[in-house]
Amino acid sequence: MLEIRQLAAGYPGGGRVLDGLDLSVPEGAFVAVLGRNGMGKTTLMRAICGLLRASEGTIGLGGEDITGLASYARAQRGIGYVPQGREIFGDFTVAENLTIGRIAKPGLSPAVPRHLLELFPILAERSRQRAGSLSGGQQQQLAIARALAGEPRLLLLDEPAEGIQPSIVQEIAQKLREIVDTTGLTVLMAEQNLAMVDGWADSLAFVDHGAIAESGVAAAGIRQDQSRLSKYLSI
Amino acid sequence: MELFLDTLNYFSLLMLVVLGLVVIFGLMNVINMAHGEFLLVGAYTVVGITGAGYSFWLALALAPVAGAVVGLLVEALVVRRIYHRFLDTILATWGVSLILKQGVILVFGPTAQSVANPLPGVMNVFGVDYPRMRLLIMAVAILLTLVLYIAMFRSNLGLRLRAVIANRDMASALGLNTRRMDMASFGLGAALAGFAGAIISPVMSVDPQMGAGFLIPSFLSILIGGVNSLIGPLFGVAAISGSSNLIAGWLSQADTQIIVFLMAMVVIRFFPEGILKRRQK
Repeated sequence: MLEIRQLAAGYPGGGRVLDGLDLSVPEGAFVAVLGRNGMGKTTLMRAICGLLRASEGTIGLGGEDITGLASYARAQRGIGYVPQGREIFGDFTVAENLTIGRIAKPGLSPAVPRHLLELFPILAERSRQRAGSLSGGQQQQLAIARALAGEPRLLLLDEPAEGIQPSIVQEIAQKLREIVDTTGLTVLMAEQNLAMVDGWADSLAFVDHGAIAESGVAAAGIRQDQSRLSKYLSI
Repeated sequence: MELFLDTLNYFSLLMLVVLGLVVIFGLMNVINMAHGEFLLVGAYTVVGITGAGYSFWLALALAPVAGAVVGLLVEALVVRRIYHRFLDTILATWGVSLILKQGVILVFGPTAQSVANPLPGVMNVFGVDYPRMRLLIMAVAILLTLVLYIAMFRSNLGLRLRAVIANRDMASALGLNTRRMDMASFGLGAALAGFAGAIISPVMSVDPQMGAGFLIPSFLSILIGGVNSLIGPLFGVAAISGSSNLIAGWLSQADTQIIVFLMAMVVIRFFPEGILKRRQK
């Protein structure tokens, strides 16, 4: 589904953050990218969804080279993005946040699918509430639901557990697993919170200094893998 | 009552100009120094068409089209290349304003023109005889504000526009073609300015400087109220027009402007995102 080859990207004046990064994510897989702060997880997510231009390398989605496409065109080709910090539209209602996830894509009706509201019942309950007044966990559910409302083929999540209480982290991880199992959606998630990946993701990739140091590592039991935790997460 | 109507009249004139600016400044974060000249395009469209013997109402219908065409050209030729270069957009649109103003002078001359009032006479409003054309302008300003409100807050197009206002990157990552939205917004803002210039032309002297007189109060109205909703600019326009008219009863025009601008500066100092900006969680 996603093929990244020799990707280099960075920020103006900040040098390269990603340098020669290779990553493959098969269709229907739930892959988590782990790494310490500053290793390039967010940069990778932003480069895939097109908010950051690659200076070198290629990004392929479903066999198509999308490296030169603008972010809206990548979204229209099936990339859904849940950014770090959620970035919901705080002044919009919950319903408007979900609707914009639909109508931003040409050809989708504005009506939010029923199964999405069943998956996140709290959002249906609070549909008229201003999104900015939701709790952190509810906002994260809204950010995920907004991305799913656009019916993506590949869902990118950037540290969805950040700032969320542990019980909600488990709930969100469980829902993601459920979505992957029932719909065949491909998920790539950048994370540091092991509770979000252990037992939920299929496999792990470790990012270190802007490149993938190891990939295809089984997610189950990662919390016991002291060698990798120490090497890549300084735990 | 007359003071109230005069205030409402100035409020309406300013609101008509501000509506276009809300779209261009609010949506695109472009300080468009040529906005006053888009107004000029509308007003001189009326001068040209009525001067050729056609009706004012035809000219009023064509003025927003003329405004939109000029706006889209400015967007495509100038602004598109410098959207994220804040100071450059100010300089470039200032240059555009000079070109448009001089263009008008070349075609129509530097002297003031007048447009025949298509709606002469007065109407009695609560015991005060008030010009019918000015009452029409008030009604149109209120109607247009309502239409824009509904378009922005009750339609899917408005939801898309507001998403781009609120978070441009996120809107793009969701699939919105922000480039196309930029064009549509700039064209819409210029069309609204063209319409404003056309409808106020019978009650004002139409001259190459007429746009400049509205530019500063319009920007101040938006800065005072904030741009995240239409209520903010509406509040800003009410504050500027109300205080201007009240103070003008006591002081000279120049003194009034100084005091109003000082008050606006104080408000902007303490409420940099506008008085009505909601605190976000």
